[in-house]
Amino acid sequence: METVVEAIDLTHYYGKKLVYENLNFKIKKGSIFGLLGKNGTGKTTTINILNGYLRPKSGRCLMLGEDSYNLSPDTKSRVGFLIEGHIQYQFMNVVQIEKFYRRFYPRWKRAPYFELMSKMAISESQQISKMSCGQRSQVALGLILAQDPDLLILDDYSMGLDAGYRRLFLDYLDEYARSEGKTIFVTSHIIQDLEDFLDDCVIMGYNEVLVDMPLKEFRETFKRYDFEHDASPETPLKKSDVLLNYEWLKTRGVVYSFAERAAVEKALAESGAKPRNVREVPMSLEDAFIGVTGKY
Amino acid sequence: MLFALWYKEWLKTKWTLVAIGAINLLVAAGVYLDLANTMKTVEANVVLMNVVFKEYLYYVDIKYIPALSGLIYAVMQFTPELSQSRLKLTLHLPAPEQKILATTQLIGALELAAIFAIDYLILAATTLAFFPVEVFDSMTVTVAPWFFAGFAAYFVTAAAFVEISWTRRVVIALTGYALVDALFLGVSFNAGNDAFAHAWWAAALVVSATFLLLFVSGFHYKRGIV
Repeated sequence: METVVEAIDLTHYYGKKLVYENLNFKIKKGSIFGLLGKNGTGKTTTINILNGYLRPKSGRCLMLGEDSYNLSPDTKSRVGFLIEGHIQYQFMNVVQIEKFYRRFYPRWKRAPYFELMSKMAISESQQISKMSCGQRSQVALGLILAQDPDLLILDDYSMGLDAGYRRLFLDYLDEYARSEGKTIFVTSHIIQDLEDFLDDCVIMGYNEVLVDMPLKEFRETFKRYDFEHDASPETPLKKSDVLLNYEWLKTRGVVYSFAERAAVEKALAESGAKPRNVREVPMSLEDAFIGVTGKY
Repeated sequence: MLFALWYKEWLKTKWTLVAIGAINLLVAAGVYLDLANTMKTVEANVVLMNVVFKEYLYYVDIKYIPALSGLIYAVMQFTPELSQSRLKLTLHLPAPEQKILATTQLIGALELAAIFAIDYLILAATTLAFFPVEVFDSMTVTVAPWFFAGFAAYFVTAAAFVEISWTRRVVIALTGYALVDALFLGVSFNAGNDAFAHAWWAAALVVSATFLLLFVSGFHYKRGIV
């Protein structure tokens, strides 16, 4: 399948602080890709590199076949970009901002934008600076839809939105992307919203990639095991390929792993944990995310 | 692209432009009214003697107005772009980034030029109404660097705003201050003998070069923090 975005050995530092080293991922055409991670793991850095606002220390990124640091105007017109916080020109109103943008985009479609404004009961003369965060998000989304891009890059679309607006935003996007064969790159801190939305995901840890696989595969293969134990609360478990992450409570423990139960029981026993009643516990995507990245 | 960017800049800065225009107009009109009043109360030949021999600059009130206008306009034009990284939106538009920056700055320069032209026309009409053409020539040579200072203040402030490094920002600001300050040197009726009269093209060249500073800052902005 055609690749729309490809990060090749991306390495970046802020001063001497390493953000990540040799980050690689590909986004397939028509897929919805999520870049997930806790604060400070490099999500926005990656988006800045993708959009050509940051030159990586080494490595490069290809967007629609072009080096992302030197995107041609034609390629830029095929990329819709939502800045964190739904930032737009606040000195414009609903009509003015559409009038401004439409002169730049050859495939501009006014209808989806004004339909969305009408649906949200946002008046045409309403100034963006006087809108709620939710309304602003719909303006930003409507403008991206009108642009009719092949690739949508959405940096933390959920920032500042209540549950209703988040759902509205994703439902609109989902329908649009699936029906029009668009590719979406999304980051968000509200992991549970992405449960039925993403096709592929990369989960970033500090300085490293923790997961890079289709979301379905991640949900099926990444597991949580709870168990009881008699070991002291200080008993340290040694993290390994089997025991990826764990929580050690007074009388029970939790282990996150891609391995089957037998392998986990064996690894726990070898660690001296003496587990009892090891059982797999179902997880939401957010639980799995916490399982991979840890709570703090 | 030009029309769209002009439309955006107009929506963003129209009230700033109106305010700056009004201040310039009031000061220029004040120069006329002051001189007209002086001419009524003092004999014309005495006023002329003062202009020629005592460096009485009846238009001195306007001296810092263009520089102040350029500074304020740049602040009002670039603050919305830089707050919340809104410049990323502008640079994501499907057009060459340096062309977008150049056009944005050119729009600002043309709008300021329109205001400065009105100032100059009022000063010219005022001078020609009361004095011989030699005074008009002297006035032109004297006020020209003040208007140059207006453009320099605008270009330098814009570049300092877009620059992401505080060190470079300070360097740009100090260099700009030195340049603008230099443009306020040496004014008198005999300005025709001053360095500026002979080297106005050099001053124009230096001020025009400050136009390019925004490209350097734009390059740094795009490259990001390293």
